[in-house]
Amino acid sequence: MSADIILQISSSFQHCLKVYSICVTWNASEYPGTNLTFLQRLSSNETYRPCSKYTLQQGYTAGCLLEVEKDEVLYFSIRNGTHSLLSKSLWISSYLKPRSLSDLSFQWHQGAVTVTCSDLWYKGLVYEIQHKSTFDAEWQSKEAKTCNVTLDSLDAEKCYFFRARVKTLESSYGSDTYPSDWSEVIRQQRGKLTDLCQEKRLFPNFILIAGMVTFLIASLLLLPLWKLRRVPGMHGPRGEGFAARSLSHSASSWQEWIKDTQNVAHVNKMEDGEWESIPEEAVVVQLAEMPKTAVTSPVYRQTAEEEATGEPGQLPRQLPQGGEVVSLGDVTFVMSDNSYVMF
Amino acid sequence: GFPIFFRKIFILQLVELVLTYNFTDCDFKNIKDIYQDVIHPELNVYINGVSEETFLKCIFIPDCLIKIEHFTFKPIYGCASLAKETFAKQTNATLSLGCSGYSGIQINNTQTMKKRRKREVKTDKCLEQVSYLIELWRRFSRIS
Repeated sequence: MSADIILQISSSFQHCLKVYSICVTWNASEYPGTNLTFLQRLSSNETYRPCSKYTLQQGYTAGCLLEVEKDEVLYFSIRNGTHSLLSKSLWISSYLKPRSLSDLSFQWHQGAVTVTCSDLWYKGLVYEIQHKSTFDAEWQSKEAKTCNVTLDSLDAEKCYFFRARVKTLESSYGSDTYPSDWSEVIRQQRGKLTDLCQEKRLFPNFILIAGMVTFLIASLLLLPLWKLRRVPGMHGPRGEGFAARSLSHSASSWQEWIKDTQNVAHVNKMEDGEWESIPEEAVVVQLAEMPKTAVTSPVYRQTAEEEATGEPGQLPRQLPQGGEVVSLGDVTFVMSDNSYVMF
Repeated sequence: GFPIFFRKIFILQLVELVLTYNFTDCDFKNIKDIYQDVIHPELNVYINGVSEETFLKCIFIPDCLIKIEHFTFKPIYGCASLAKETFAKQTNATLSLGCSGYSGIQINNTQTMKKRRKREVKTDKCLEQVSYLIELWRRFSRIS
């Protein structure tokens, strides 16, 4: 036998046709671009016959496909013209690749499941069933000489994946065979076939409780901060503008105060930009219920003083003695227990 | 003279043919199970990974067992006897147990003592014989 020819042989049993299919391919590196011939016979008493179905690679013969009715000995020879490069005899089943399994059925009972399918026609096989749950990283295997495998310690409420394949026994076929392809993966949950797994949220209890406790603590810590943010600020904007933020009242109480004092003459700005002159007499309003929490903003006081210089028609700068002084823009109030004076 | 000699040979061959067990009345499934679990591992131990390009075939189940018995217990030139090997003793016991009317092979213990040194020598011929046995057993297990 030439060591320069590498053979690849595989065989399978066609159940519909009841025949074995064998594929013999070769790689003859020393004979590139050469049409090698494949001769075969099924009995030592027969004469060699040429291959009737070659496989080609780059236009040259690279293999031969054969069909035989039973597991027999194949005698074959690969030749370059009349020169024999390789001669070999082998059992067809020595390179068997069984067909894949497709008719799995499941029977669940008391924490176990029995997986069954139709046994293949030929003997000396072992059936391998693999399963895993959605929480498992690896498949778990179990084998039997018939396609009837019981898997214990399974929880029918969980979702499981199953797949199966068949392998040949080395004691019957030798070590040159191939396992079958894996069957389709089948999902089972609650004893039924399912397309999607619906696993319960199996959160450990302590994780759930810890999460709730953490949430409550965070809420308790953040709640005071949130309330503080809702309190009006102590400092108003610099420069010109409304200075009512200096008061500690809420907006609603301030509106009420405005209503109460609506008879007070206001300083109106004339169209030409000059201020309307006001009577020299100060307007006194009785405020029996006016709270005394007004705070004078030093910013606005300073602003009022700046505006007081050089502008015509301003209020007299000399303020009454006593009481609390509140400045709102160009308007100044002097508050006492039960009255105020506006300038 | 010669006619008498050839007559004796003929009679001996007839006797051998009659006395050769035909292995038709056997529990083939039981024999196969024991081969797969017990005999096959021992054959692998003996062959120890040596791959022999040998080939021998049997067509029917009794034919396989006849040839298995032949290659296991029949001494040949270059391989005096495999009968004392572990797998051979297991084969003898299996066939005796599984085949009705089969008495097995009587192994001579005196010969065992004298040839102890040679027992462990695996000649190329012995490896070839065991390769035949492996092929025959595999075929038997596929068809039984």
